[in-house]
Parts: sequence; C-alpha cells; structure tokens
Amino acid sequence: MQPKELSKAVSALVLTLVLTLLIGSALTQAALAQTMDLAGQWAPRAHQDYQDRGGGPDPVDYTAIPLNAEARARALSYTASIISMPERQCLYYPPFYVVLGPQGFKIWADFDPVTGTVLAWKVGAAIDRAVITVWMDGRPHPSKYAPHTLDGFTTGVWEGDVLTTYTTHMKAGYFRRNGVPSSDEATMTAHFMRHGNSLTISVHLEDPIYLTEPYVISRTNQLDPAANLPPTPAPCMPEPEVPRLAGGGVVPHFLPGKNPFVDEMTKRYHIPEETVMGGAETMYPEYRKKLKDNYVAPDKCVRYCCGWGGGSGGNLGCIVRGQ
Amino acid sequence: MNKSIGAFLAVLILSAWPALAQPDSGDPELEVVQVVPNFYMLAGAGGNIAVQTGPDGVVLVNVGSGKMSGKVIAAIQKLTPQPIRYIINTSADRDNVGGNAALSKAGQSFTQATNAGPGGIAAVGPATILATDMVLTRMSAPAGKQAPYPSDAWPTESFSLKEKKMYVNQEGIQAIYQPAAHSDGDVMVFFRRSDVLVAGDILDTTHFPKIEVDQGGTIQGEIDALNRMVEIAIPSIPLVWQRGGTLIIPGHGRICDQADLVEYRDMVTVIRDVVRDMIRRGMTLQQIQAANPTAGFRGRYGADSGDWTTGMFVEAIYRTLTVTKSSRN
Repeated sequence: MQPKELSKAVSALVLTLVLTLLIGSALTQAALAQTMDLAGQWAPRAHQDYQDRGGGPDPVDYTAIPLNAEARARALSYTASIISMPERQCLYYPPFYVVLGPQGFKIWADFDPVTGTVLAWKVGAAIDRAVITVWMDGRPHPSKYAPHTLDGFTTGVWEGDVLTTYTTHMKAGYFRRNGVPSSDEATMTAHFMRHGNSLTISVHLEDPIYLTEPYVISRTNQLDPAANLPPTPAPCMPEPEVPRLAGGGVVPHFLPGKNPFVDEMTKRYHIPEETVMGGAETMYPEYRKKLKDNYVAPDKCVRYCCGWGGGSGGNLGCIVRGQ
Repeated sequence: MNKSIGAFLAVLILSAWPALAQPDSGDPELEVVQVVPNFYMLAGAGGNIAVQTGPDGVVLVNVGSGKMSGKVIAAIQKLTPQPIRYIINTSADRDNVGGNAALSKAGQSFTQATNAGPGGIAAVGPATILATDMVLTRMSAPAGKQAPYPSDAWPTESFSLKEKKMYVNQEGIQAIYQPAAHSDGDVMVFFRRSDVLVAGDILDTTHFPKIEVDQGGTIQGEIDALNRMVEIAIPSIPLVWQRGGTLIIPGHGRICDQADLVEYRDMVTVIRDVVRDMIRRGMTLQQIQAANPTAGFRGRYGADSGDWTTGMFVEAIYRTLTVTKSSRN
C-alpha cells in the first residue's frame, strides 16, 4: 500500500471510530436519560382495600367488579377447597396480583452491558406471583398460539416519567381471591408512576370473557431499602393432603344455587344481595345514591372493626355503630 | 473485553429469541410456532400439526384438513431437509387426516424400502401412517363399498394395543391409546426427550371438547383421557417461577402446559357434575339445555353455530351419562 493510500485508510478508520464512539455515547446518554429509576424495594401500604389484600374478601363479595353473568356464575361455583388439589397447590395468581395482593416487591433492571440501555425491568415476585419481565427493547408479543405463562408477556414504553406496560398471554386466574374468574384472554395495561419515595401502579384490566368494562385498580407502595424482599418466590412442592382430591376424580365446586355463602354479606352487613353480586354499576360512587334510602346499617360492627390486624398497626379508627 | 463481547452476544441472542421461536412459513394463514428446539406446531391448516425434526427424518402428528397440504409440505421443508418418515393420526377427524395422502407421498418410509444398498436404507415408499385400528376402520370400507377416504390416505400401520412405541431422532415416542374419549380411536402422543405431549382432539382450547358419541366417545372417557394427560405432564416444580415443564399441543388452539390442562379438565368435570345432578333431579335434555349447565364457561369455550355447538356438547354429556345410568340399572 502506498503511503497516501495508507494515510487515507488510517483517516477513515479514525473517523469511523470517532463516529462510533459519538453515536454510542449519544445512545447511552439517551437511554439513561429517558427513564425514571424504578429500582428498589417497594413495601406495601395496606391502607388500600386492606380486607381484600390481607385477611381476604368475604366468600361471596363481588362488589365493585365489572363482572358479567358468566363470571358471576363461575364465581358462585367456586370453593376454596379447589386449592387443595395437588395440581393447583403451587399455581400462582396472574401478574395483576401485583396490585391485588398484600405483598411488596423488588424492582430491578437488566441492562445491555455495552450501551447501558435497559433491556427489561423486572418486577420481583411475591410468594404466589411470578416475576414480571417488562421488555423495553421493542420486541413483539408472541403468537396467539404461544403458551400462556404464569408471568404473561409484558412490554413497556416510557410516556414522560410514567412507565406504561402491556401484558398478554396470562393464564386464567382470579380477579378476586374468592373466585371471581379471569380468563386467559385477559390483558393488563399498567402505569408505574414514581413520586419520590412513593410508587403508584395503576392497572387497567380487560377481559372479553368475564368483564363488561375495564377493571381499574391503583395501589401505592413505599420505598423501603430494608424490606429484604426476595426477587423470586419460594420453591413449592405439592402434597396430596386430601386423598379424595388426588388423582383428578373430584373437582371441588358448588352446584348452581348451592353456594352456602351467597347471603352472608346481606346478613352480616345488610348489603343487598343484588349489590353483593357486583357488576359495573357497583364500581361508581353514584351507586351509593341508589342504596342510601333503603340501607339500614347493622346494630354493631361484627368483623374487621379495627382493621384486619385488629387496629394495632395503624391509625385506622375502629368502626363504632353505623360508620 | 472478552466478557463484554460475550455478554453483548448473549444480549443479541436473547433479543432474537422471539424470531427464533416463530419461523416464517411464508404464508400468513399457516403459522409455524417453535415449541422446543427440534419441535414445531403448524397452525392454520385445519387441526394443529406437530412436527418433530432430527437426523432420522420428520415425525408428524396429524396433517391438517388437506386443503393446504402443499403449503404444509413447503413449511416443513423450510424447517428441515430430512424427509417425512412417520405420520401419526390421533383420530379419524378430517381436520387431522385430510392431508394423509399428500404428506405421506411427500415422505419416505423407513419400513417400506424396496432394497437396502451399501449406503443403508434405500427408502422409497411413502411415509408410514400410524393410527389405531378404529381410525383405519373409519377411514376405509369393506371391499365393494365406497370408503370415506382414498386408500392412499389410510393408515398403513394400525394397532389395537394400549400403546405403540418407537425411538426416532434420539427420543422415545409413545402413542398412547385412550378409549372412548373424543371417539373410540384416540391416541395421545408423548415425545419423551422433547417433553411434548400431543393431545389430538381430546384437548381443544377453542371449544368444549368434541365428544363424538356416535363414534364411541363418552364424557367419562374424555375426563379419563384428560386425567391421564395431567398425570403424564410435569409442571415446573419446585421452581414454579421458571418457565418449563411438559408442553402440550392441543388438537386446536394454543400450546398449553399442565396448568392449562388442569383448567380444562376441571371445566369439563364441573360441567359433567352439573349435568349429572340435573339428570338425577329428573330433568329432561330439553330442560337441561334451557338451564344452561355450561354457565361460567360458555363464553370461553361455547359456540352457537358451527360444527360443535354448546348444545351438542351438553347433549353428548347427557347421552353418555344416561346410557351409563341405564346400563347400571
């Protein structure tokens, strides 16, 4: 190679290297600048729906869920005995249990080691919920023929400081722990909003099989570096604890019209059965106007009067008559 | 530096995973989904087609309705240059066997070789079609009668044992006979190393199970078959959060695992219990239909039109339960 040609080649190489470094640096800065840092341990604040999330809902309480008649029929056939089936003992709730359940969670990011770009955010597991992987690299959702998994398939984009995620390919599960079903066609749109040491997650659930309109839930968690939350759930090994439920011969359920808990809310809290059966109408504040003229509060509070933990852990005032 | 490059390559490979998982069939109607590295599901050509590939050739479970056989053959040839060796039919449904003749002819049998030269097998016959005796009976006809299918579509190797085994592409393959489920000729096919179970029409994630009572299907046989599959399939335990475990290819619909199978089995069992209770209370079929015993599941699996409606499913349960009741009395 002639000296002139060699010089040209070296110049071209240097230019290429400089451009590569500049572009790489710009990309890295852009990648780092576009995200609010969500990493940390986020402890639950049990002031929101504490009964549902803690002690658990009443066996037949479908209030404030926009469920349809199919969902109601299925929920009324549900008995918690089904969880004793060995095949179901280790199953998790769907990813939206992140706002339905009582637990906190750890969030971390998986980075591209070269560019520093966040490839995926990970929302750590709870004991009965899988790790949610939020893919940030623009990959498409899988085929409609692909398996549905315990963690579903989630992609995310930043909208300003809000991380908006979309989850498909979830397994069938429950919108409430008393058997209100979710189907494997349900989808979840979630918004992760950080304000200082608070993280609010607003979830919009849609299910063409069991919901008449989106079911919207928001929860706020608090940054707690000392929470020691595990990233993954504990291992689980099922045991046939009830012999008649091993082997698939028996599936626990209530026959139509035989659910013994159907009037429990009415007897205990004087809430009309029509209301207990839920539906979109019961989600909205206006529904209270429909009830107020006919509602008579019980003489005394009989359960959860000071919060499900007995009122020892917070500032919840105990319910005295009629509150 | 090497570590960084390795990590970068790992990231690239990870990012490319979905593309690997969905090879392009070249046809928008025919979708190819990778199940595990040597195993694919072809969807859109009738019933689902399971494709096991390897150095010995291709083993297919079911072949679709036959309307898209050319495209199915082209899609398989994109996956592997090896010939189709075996076709296993899980039942005699047209959605599963319609492509038998075309795909068999496109393949080469192990066992119908005319000679074996120094190079080994010189396989020249069409691919072997394996099914139960009942499937052969339903597809063929006695001499002089018109058969529903031409003879080149019939199973060339039929069996009446509880199980037929083979070892192809370095894995054991079990065709397990399941009497009186969807029909009287069902098999499920278990690929042991791939850990993939092909359910045939015992499992249909798009509908209530099609129980062909006139062809020997029963509701109890269907539940027994689903229970058998639940037993065979292993979920990802104790590390539940890891993706893994046995994968199941249904006759129609999406790929499942044991949890999906349990959901389906429980749905069928609950509806059986509801119909049985109504029969015990003296309700007629018409009254049972009107009472909607599939409530809670109808929106997900039911249909009011097509070749398998909710009404037909309820009637099939009713018919087989009342036959059982009569025979007990």
